[in-house]
Amino acid sequence: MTLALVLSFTVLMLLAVPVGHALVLASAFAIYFFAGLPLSIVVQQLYQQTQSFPMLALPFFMLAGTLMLGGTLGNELLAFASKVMQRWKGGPLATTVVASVVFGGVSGSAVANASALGSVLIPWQKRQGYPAALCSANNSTSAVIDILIPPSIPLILYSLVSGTSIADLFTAGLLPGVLLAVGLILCCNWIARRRGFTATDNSATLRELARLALLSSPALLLPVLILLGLRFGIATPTEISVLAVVYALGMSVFLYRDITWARFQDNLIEAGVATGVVMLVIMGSAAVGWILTFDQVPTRFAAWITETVENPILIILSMNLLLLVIGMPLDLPPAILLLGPIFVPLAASIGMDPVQLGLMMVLNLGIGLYTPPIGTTLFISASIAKTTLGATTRELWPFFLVSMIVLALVSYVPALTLY
Amino acid sequence: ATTMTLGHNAAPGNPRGTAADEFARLVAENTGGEFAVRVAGAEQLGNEQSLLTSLRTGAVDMTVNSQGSCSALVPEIAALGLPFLFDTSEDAFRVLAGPVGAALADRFAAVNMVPLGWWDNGIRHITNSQKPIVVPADLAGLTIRTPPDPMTIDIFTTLGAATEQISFGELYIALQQGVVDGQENPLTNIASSKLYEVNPYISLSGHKWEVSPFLMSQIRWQQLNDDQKGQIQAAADAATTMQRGLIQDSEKTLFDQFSADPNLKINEVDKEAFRAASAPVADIWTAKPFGDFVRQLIDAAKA
Amino acid sequence: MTRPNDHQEDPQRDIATDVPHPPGGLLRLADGLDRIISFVTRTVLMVSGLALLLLLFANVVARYAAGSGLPFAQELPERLFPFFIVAGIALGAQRGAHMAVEALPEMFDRRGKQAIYVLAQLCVIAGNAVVMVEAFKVGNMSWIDLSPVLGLPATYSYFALAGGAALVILATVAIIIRLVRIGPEALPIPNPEETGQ
Ligand code: NA
Ligand code: NA
Repeated sequence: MTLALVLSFTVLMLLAVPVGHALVLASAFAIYFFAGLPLSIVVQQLYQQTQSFPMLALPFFMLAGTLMLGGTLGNELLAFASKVMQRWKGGPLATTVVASVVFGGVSGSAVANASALGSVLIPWQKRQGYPAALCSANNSTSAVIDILIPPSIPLILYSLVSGTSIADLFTAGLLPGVLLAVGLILCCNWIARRRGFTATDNSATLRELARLALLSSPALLLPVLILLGLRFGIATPTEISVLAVVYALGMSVFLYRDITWARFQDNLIEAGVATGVVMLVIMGSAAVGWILTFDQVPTRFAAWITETVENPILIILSMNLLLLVIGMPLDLPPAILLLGPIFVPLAASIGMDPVQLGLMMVLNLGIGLYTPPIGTTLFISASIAKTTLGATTRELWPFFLVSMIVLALVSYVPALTLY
Repeated sequence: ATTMTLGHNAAPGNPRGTAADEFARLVAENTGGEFAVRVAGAEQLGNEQSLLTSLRTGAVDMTVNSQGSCSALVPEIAALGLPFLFDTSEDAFRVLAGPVGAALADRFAAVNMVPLGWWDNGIRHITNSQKPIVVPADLAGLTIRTPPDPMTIDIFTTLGAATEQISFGELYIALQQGVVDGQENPLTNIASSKLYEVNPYISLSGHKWEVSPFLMSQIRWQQLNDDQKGQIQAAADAATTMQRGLIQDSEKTLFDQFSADPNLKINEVDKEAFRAASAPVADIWTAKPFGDFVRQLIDAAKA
Repeated sequence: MTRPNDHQEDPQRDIATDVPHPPGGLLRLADGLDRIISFVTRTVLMVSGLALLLLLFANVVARYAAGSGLPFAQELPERLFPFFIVAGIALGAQRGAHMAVEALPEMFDRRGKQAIYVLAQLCVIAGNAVVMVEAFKVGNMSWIDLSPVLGLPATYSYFALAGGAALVILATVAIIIRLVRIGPEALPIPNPEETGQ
């Protein structure tokens, strides 16, 4: 069944069938013709993904972002942020990285991170002349910092299957998260130098900056409020996304008086389309994941590694390769639940600490979130940036390289995670 | 050999998973290799709600489920969670071995499922981040997360707590950051999901027991002859005994482990005060459309 | 790998109906289909989106004002979300917002591209036909699958999937009509600047 799935999916992709539809059709094809199982399985997997409470944060963070930035306030904020961040080469791009570290300190999900920061920062970066695809690549990569910096939903899941302490995992994630951030900032700076996105405007006086800061303070306050709301347990991340919309609406209605019913409607429908685009891929991936699991592909592959590979360095390398392959179609939670129980004893056999293994798995599967052709943060970012998968993929490689270096360090340097 | 699929949501090493593996081994042994069972745990083939639908379409042959997800299809089963209905799991199994269990099996048959065994989901206790809960009044001012289960909501509302719906995936962070103060679960879940790391007060309220039905798809069951049915039921019976034993052991071990942990404060509650304060819940449930079943259950539990 | 006209400097169209085209019965049908789909999906997005917003907000307010959250605050949003999602998927299909890998069609001339695009759209119809039929079947057997607090059957969410798939099929039919009658340039692609700014 898996072979039929892989072949039919490849053919559909070559025909330029949209990825989400291709996942659905390929899994239906494989299940019906090669397994003798009821087709209802496909629909059930699609349905199960729509019942996801945390995914509700996606449309609302996007809506809050467009409401804030679409009006008068947006112009003030953009002017201010441009004046400040353009002092450094690649500063506007690096803003996403820094913001991901800060946002990651309160959010546990890369999806929330990509949608919340992307919908605010990508339109602003595009206006400063950065290509949409570059912004999209940067945003899809940076969002992964979120699940390394505590709190982190994938690390919580890993603790469930590995029996390690959540607190230990959270502590261990901090250094790799910061390391990844530093690497990505250097990467942004390098891209800006190489492509001539130079610092353009150093002219603003302190007085002018202060004026702009004051004018844009309601927008600058929003991320601060989001952080405080999460940190002090005012509401869950999903609820915070809704509170952000209410705040943005309140500002528009009472302070700036620039909202119209038509603009609100457009923004909500925009958020709806972006949600539909991302959810279709997540739903289709779930159906594909069901087939891989039913055929016991990950289990067999891991058993094969255990039998054939003996050198510890090569075992770690094979685990990483398997994670990269499985992480392409599979979402983080099922991949962790599937491979965690297989890898924990395998790692123990070569003396690898389960905490280090957890960070390696989460970072590796996090990279899968933007490895083409299927990835959640990749789709969110490309959708927000209004660009294509192909264009984003071409901009992705420097970020990808940096992430792989950090992954190699986490995999082979225990001191990074065990201190 | 015919391969059947057993799906469940538990992590490896959990009593459910261990007993499911044992069942698979016994089926192969009892049927002389005529049948094999492929066990897929950890929600690999779908969450509990999805597995139940798969059971009805025949996509999956067997599942182990929790009481809460089964109550979507068989609402009567939620009544097993009436507050302080059973003092021990043994009391519950005694009742389920009688007419109450037969009545439930009939209800499962109506939705195309055959119960192969009543597994133990454990007795539930309250944890929170603020203080030890000894009497019901201690719950006042605390926000307790409950699963979307009408019985649990009724119990905690009646006891005077504020209840909040938070999905299990968001629970740890919600407890850590204080969106809610506490939650309720059996010791096994409190341990496996590390909830004690953020909820140091564990109060052994034992307010509610839950069953974990081990179900088979009727579509597959009807394809079996009597011999095969007998062999599979025998394997299920042995796995059931094993699962119940594992839960008892694990609750004992966890109690000792939590008691020995200097960071945790574990305490007994005034059970009589809780029993009295939660008594009105039974009235709410006997007034429901399946009130006859609820009365039958209460009478059987008292006998 | 990208389509020739996806550079962001190019003026872009919102939906395919804006493509100038010769008059014709089939094309009028396609325009009509698009208007219906656009109306239905926008209405569903607005109604479900506003309901979700109000519900989640009301729960936070209730927690602080009344001291206790709403008992259905997890369940009702989960039941509404599928409607929001499928409307987004269908409107996305009409606008060509679902991303694809464009490497192969790029290698062909206009005729070849047209054929590949039509074939791809037929595949989209096939996949969604499966979803439509199966979701309807599973939905019909789910009348007894009731949500714990409000007792809503899971049927509605499955029917939402079926309805969404039907809308995608209709939108794709309109796209195919234009691909055949006008050519490969009629394939809708997302508008890079339609951020409402
Ligand atoms: Na985080
Ligand atoms: Na991927």
